[in-house]
Amino acid sequence: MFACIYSENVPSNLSLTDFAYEFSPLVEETKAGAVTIDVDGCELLFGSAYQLANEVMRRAKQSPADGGLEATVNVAIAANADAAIHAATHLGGITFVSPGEELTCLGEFPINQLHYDLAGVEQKTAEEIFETLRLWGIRTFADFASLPVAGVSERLGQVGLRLQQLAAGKTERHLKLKQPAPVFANSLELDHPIAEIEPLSFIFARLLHQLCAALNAYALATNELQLQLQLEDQTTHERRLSLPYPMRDHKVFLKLLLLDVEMHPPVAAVRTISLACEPVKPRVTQNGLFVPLAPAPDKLELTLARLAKLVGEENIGSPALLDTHRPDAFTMNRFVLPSKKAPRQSTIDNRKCLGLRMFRPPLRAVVETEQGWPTQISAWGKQRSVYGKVVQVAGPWRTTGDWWREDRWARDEWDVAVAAGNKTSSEPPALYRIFRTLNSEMWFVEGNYD
Amino acid sequence: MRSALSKAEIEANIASRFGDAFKIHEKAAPETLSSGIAEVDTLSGGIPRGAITEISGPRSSGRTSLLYSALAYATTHDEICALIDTNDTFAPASAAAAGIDFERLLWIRCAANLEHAFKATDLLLHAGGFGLVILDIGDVAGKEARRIISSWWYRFRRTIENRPTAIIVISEEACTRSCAALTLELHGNGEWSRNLLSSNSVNVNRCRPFWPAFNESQFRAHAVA
Repeated sequence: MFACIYSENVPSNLSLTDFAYEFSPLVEETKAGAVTIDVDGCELLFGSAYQLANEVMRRAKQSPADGGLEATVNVAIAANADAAIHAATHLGGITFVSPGEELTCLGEFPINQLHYDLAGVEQKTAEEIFETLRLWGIRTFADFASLPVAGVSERLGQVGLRLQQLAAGKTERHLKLKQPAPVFANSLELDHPIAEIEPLSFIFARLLHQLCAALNAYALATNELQLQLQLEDQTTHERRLSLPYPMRDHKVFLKLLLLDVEMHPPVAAVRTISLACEPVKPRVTQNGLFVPLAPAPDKLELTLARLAKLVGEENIGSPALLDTHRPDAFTMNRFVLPSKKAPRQSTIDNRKCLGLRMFRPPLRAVVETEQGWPTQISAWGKQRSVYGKVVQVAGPWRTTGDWWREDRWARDEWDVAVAAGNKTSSEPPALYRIFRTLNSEMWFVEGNYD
Repeated sequence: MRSALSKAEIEANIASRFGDAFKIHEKAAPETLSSGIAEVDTLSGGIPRGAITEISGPRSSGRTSLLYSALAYATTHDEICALIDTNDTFAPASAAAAGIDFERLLWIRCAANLEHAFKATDLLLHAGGFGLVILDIGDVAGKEARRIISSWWYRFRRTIENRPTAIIVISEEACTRSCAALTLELHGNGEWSRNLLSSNSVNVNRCRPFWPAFNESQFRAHAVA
């Protein structure tokens, strides 16, 4: 059995849907001012259908403080949800439609009061059909329901049949239940603060397991985890883990979270742990037979997190050149598996470029010159040294830039071949790029052509 | 003699039942990845997958040119590559000129920490899925490189065995010992024209596997503006 509650004068600050939840957990928001509830199984709570309807009307008149709406409502109960909706919207007070006797109750309603949207019919189509019915002399629900089914189907098609069943109160459908919005967040307040990471991992595991179960239930994944720790010193430690691909594996999340907390530990003991995630649709990929293997996204994320812990977050990623002429200007982007690209032509043998190995930071050098040309170089650093006679030289090439900034540069660059310092060595000279800063007149070795 | 004969008899009797269980299986030739330089590929047959390749030589011997060339080829052929840069010497501008697709390159800078470099390599190899992993210890002094314990190399070799990953080790002196399936030794000589550094003429010697008849090749890496 279904009950439709209809009211046109519900105050804007009150919700008819919330009111309906007091009687049944299965609620459909049918239209503005009308909700339909499934009342099967409510007998133990409210008694018979008539008693239920009376209770609905009584409570609706109560003040909002007592859980009411301070409004008059129409209540209709029927075996058919659509019949209940028609009865509640067109008949005042309480209406009980007995099963199989829908037409007795609804038959006299004018045909243009048919709620065609309940049968999934568009307004334009419905109006055309109503006009046709008017020309045929069909005025009421009962007239329409009495027409032969085959004839309606021939003349008005499947849409006409659906409207006829609606008028006869014979439609069968499930309620479109209002689902409460899912919440993908979990929180836990601790009796005693925790200062170590290992005990925290058990709590993370539990919260993540619940989060991933919720995501799994809705066939969703997440690409962002938000961790909030309320600390003993009344501060909040917040971390946000962005993932390049949506995932929902709680084991991977736990490892990533622990690695992140190890790299960025909270400054005080933890009192409350809150975990939330942003739900998104899961990633769907189609692999190819002839596409080279790539790392699994979840394994790659874990590996990158471990590497970041080992060498530092700023030392890992994909290089990208900056749009400037400044020497050795680049940035590190987060490494993300690229999407599939169209196959490219073989570049074999096309790019035999002379490679450069950078010395970072540039090696401070002492350079002897003759008429401005380098003749002897000596430079010592912690990891490398360069010294010897300059046997070949090319340059200088002057570059300057960013003169309006603090970190401007202006220098003369040279390519030099430096013979090994040891005279007995038969090694060919090594090739270096050196430069002299124009403002400080200091020499540096920038790198080695290799 | 009697026991040897009886062993042969036993094998002959049960060979029909157990198929080719007593045959000696020849190891299939390893899959290779091009180095991007035809002369090197002709000499070495390409960079073997599932094995270690060592490229050694002094400064300006052409190691980096060969490395960039191999990376350019691999990244433009949909391989995911990783470079473990022990001494932070990778030059993005020079690499871009060589044609490396940075989207497919994971660059790990180890700030001259050799231990971190080896641990990072180990993590990457265990993650799997990389087509080419390069461990650059080219600026590590020979004395220090010789101190690297062999177990690292055995571990790497064992990890990538039967996997499509190739490892290239760039070093100043050969240090992988018997763990490398291919060892190339490079020597370069800068070529100057009209007072400009025009190219580096690189001699490539294959030390392992050694075939006396065909063991040397040469290529020229050109300077780019």
